Amino acid sequence: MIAEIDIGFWIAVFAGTLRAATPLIFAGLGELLYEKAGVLNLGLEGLMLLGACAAVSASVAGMPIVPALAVGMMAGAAGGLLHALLCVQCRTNQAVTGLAILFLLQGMTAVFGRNMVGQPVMGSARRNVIAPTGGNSAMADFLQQLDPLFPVAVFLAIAAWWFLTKTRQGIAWRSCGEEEEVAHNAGFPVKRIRMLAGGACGLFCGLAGGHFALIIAQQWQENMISGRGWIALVLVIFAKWHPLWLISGACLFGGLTALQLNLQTRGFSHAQYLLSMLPFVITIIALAWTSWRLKSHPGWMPREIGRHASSNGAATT
Amino acid sequence: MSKALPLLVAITRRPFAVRGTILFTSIALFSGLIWLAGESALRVTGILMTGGGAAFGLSEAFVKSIPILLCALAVAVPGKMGLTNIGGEGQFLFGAVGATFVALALGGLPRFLLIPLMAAAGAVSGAAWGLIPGALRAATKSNEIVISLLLNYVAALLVLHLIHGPMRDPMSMGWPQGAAFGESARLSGLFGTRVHSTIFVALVCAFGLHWFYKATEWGLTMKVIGASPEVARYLRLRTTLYYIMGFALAGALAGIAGFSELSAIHGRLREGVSLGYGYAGFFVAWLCGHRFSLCIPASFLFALIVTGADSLQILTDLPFATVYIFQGILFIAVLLHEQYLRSQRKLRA
Repeated sequence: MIAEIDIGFWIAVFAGTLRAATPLIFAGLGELLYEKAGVLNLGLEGLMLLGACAAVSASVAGMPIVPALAVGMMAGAAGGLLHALLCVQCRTNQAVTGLAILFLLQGMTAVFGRNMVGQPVMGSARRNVIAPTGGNSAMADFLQQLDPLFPVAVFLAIAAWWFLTKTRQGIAWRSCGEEEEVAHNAGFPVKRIRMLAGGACGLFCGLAGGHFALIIAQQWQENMISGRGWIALVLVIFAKWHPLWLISGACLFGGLTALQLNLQTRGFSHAQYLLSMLPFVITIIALAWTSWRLKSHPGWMPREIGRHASSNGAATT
Repeated sequence: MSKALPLLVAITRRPFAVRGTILFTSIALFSGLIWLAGESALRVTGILMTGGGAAFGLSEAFVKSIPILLCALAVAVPGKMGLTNIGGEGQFLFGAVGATFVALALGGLPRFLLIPLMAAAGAVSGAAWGLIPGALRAATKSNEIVISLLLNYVAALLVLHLIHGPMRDPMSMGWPQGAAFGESARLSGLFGTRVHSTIFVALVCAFGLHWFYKATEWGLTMKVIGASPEVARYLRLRTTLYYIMGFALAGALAGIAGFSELSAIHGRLREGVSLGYGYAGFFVAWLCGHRFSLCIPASFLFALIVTGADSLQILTDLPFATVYIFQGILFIAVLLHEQYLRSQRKLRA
């Protein structure tokens, strides 16, 4: 039995879109900053898992939501620094190092989180602080469901854009991503910048994972990120490495997720798994489409990405 | 003491000893992490390294080494051309789906017809799944790692859809699983164990690919493409065709693994037919530097560890994913070692 599709449905879809887009923006921003500095990290999924696991364990231990998110971010930053340590300092193959870190973190979060599966997190974060209480207009309904961190994500995206284009430091980061030699000759500390970018990437991914676990899922499950890290990775390419395009791309994919979830609750549950495939299929199409366009617009991509990956992987993006 | 240090250095210079050192360091790090997680490090590591122990562990390791070997070959074939296929898992599952279709639709056929047909269906559907990242890589230069990995999720969801919906067994009382295969669709074990005859297929594939790579012009072309895509372009080699065919061949190998697991072990399509075999194969192939013949012993050794991880779930309260920690640590160690060798080579040059 398919329920009526009314205004409430669309409000739920819209609020759900923004909610699902938020972790994608966070993780995408992390990857974007790191790639702008010239390093590819395929371990986003693992870093998000690490952030989620750390945030939930802090929350289960009794921390309120903001410090718990901070714990997730710290854990993510540690993971990001590990990737930077290997790729930047030791110059290992970037793509495969990312996958190795993904394996490691997927296993570690599964083992360390095994006793808190399904435990409720502190506080009901979905009760929104900025929403007016009472009133039953569509707007109030929407504000009630709005994700409190979505504005933060938009703000951070704008801040990242401003940082990369308008500040001295940001230009230094981008020059590391475009031509290492030139950046080095200009006196920029390439390795230090890339280490910083790696830490930032982990920080953002930790935030994304923490947000997903504490606000969207509100519990810990083994391997709970289930592909969102990879979608965020493709979003960076789809957004042509531009932080502001990242927001719209994330909303597109968030919209697919929200539509799928809301259709499921409205009686399309027999096609649940087919609908869940949708974001992945669209991601593949988006990646192929953007890669095809990249052939005629090579300037979109930071040129240093994947260099030093000479051993076995022709790691072009 | 003063003499011990150079001796130690001299020992670690030996390639075999270096590998041993890497292995033992990784095991030590892994044990440390397990200890941190609050389990008995010795016991867990022991279970993991011996496959749960005793003869059962050994024969189970043989059983699990079959799909791992096939999936490792599926990674090594594109790997020879400098491509990375992490989609073994998806190709495995899609191959299993293809084999299931044949097993259920043509269940009335005698075994000597049905089994080859199922294997062919598994290989063809796996190849179709592998064709997607290969073709996209060749046509649009999209990153084949990301695409093949995303396809793993799609294939897993497809299996879930099939066993919850169209292929659900009406006899299973609401439990989501496919209908059981008929007797003629089942591969039997050899000598009363669960080891099935696909082990010969896998070995033939490994040695065949080894010969193919060493002795044929196609193998040489793969080598050139892998060594330098620029040279390959200069020589007007058909890189596009090789990329596509390499990925299709990889998919076919993983698809056969999917068929054999269903036909010999599970007997029906269900959730969790693959114990991360695609990822295990990826790991094994990288560990061997994409050398086909080396994949054989490495697959067996890693199958032992996967068997151990499977027993861990029963013997302790650790999840199967524990094995991924070990995989990750060893992977990082091998990458570092490889990088160290390269820097040494550069210094000498």
